This record gives sequence, C-alpha cells and structure tokens, in this order.
Amino acid sequence: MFLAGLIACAITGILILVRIILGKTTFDRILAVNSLGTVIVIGISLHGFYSSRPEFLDIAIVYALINFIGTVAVLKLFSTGSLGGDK
Amino acid sequence: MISELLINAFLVTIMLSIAIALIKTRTVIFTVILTSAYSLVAALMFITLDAVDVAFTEASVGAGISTILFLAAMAYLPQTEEESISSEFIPVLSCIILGGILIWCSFDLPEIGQLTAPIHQHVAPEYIKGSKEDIGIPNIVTSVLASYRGYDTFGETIVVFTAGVAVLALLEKKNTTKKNKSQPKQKIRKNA
Repeated sequence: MFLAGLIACAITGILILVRIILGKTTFDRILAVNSLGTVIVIGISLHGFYSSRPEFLDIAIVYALINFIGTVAVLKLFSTGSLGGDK
Repeated sequence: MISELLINAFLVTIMLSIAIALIKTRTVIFTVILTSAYSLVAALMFITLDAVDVAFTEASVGAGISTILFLAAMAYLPQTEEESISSEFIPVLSCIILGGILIWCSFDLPEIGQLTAPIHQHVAPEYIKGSKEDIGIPNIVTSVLASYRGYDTFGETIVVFTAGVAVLALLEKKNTTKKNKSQPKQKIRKNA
C-alpha cells in the first residue's frame, strides 16, 4: 500500500515538474513548487513508513514549515516589491 | 534494494531536469524558485541515504533561508540575466572533465553502510566506546563535535565570526559614504 502511494507521489511529482519547467507565468511556477513541496512531504512520510522508520515524520513537518515560509516570502516579494527593510 | 535503486534513480532524474531548466532560464526569480525546488529534492536524496541531520540542514538552509536571502537580494537586481557573450566551450569542457574525475574516483569508495569501511575503523570505535566516560553526555555526535573535535568547531566558529564582522564592516563603510541614498524603486514584473 505504501509502495502504491510512493508511486502515485512520483507520478504527481513528474507532472508538477513539467509545470515548473514549462510554466507560463511566475505564479504557475510558485504554485507548482509549493505543490512539489507538499508531494515531497507526503513522500517523506510514506517513505518513512515504507522503510519502517516513522520518525521521518519530524522531517516532513520541517519540510512543510519551510515550504510555507518560502512561498510566503516569494509572494510577499511580489506584493510589496521587497522583503521589508527601507523600501 | 531494487526499490531503493528506483527511488534514487527517480530523484536523480528530477534533480537533473531541474538543473537543466536552471541553466536554460534567464529570469532571476525563476532561478531562485528552481534553486529552492532543487534543494528540496536534494534533501529528499539525503533522507534516502539515511543522513537525516544533513537533510534537516539542507531543507532549512538550502530551501528555506537561502531562498529568502536570494529573494531579498533580488529586489535590488535587474529582473533578467544577460546572455553571455563569451564562449561556453571551456567551462563545459572543464565541468565534464571534473565530473568525470569525480565519478571515476567514486568507484573506489566503499559501499554505503559497510562496517569495514575505513571511516568506521579509524577513531569512531574509540569515540563510541569512550564518549560516555570521557565526556559524560549520552549524545555521541555532540561529544564528537564539542569535545573530541572541539578545536575544529572552535576554528569554524572563528571563521564564521570573522565573515560576519567583515560583512558588517563593509556595510558600515557604505552607509557612511553614501549617506543612505534612497534606492530607486523597482517594480517587479508580474508576468514574464
């Protein structure tokens, strides 16, 4: 079952990768990288259970947090033109 | 075993395609986004190699902090990269030669996880045996970093500290000479 999940993650990852590389607008790519992060979080969790090391869940949590921070930073740059500071 | 091979091949393929896209792209923000994606996949690769702490560092530093730093620096840069006019032949050739040498050297590496590899025979058994008595803390990694190789860590800290002081000194000088001249505001292009 975990293997099937991993394969599904891999296929989704390839589809997202196509969107990252071909992506027409910047927002497509931002959204695609964010989705890739989500798929990777799921992949880490599944891989942890598949290789019977469920402590990988901790890393999956770190990934989710960092993915969120990165996306927020990119979008903030787009909306305000800088990441805080003197502008 | 075969599934591990498949996972590794899949991850390497993804990393390779992201790297090729990175070379092709000429817009700075795409480069930053693709670098972030590359770091995410690289961290996944470290997890499959059982280097969980390295994966933590790669995910937080590579995909998190450095992306944000690149973006903060990007606000002051032009939006597109100029086409290079010099020949690409020599850089490509040197990259291929260096990569070939590295791959050739990797054939001599011991197998991953092999107990008889030199790195597990040299000082590691003493560290594992003596850590509890010598240092008195349960975590072996901490005792190696902070005590057995304390001078290394001390040197690294000095290097990082010096770099920080140097950057601060540079920024300080710029501020006093320029008197905080207001930067021209750049509008980020929404579509590219």
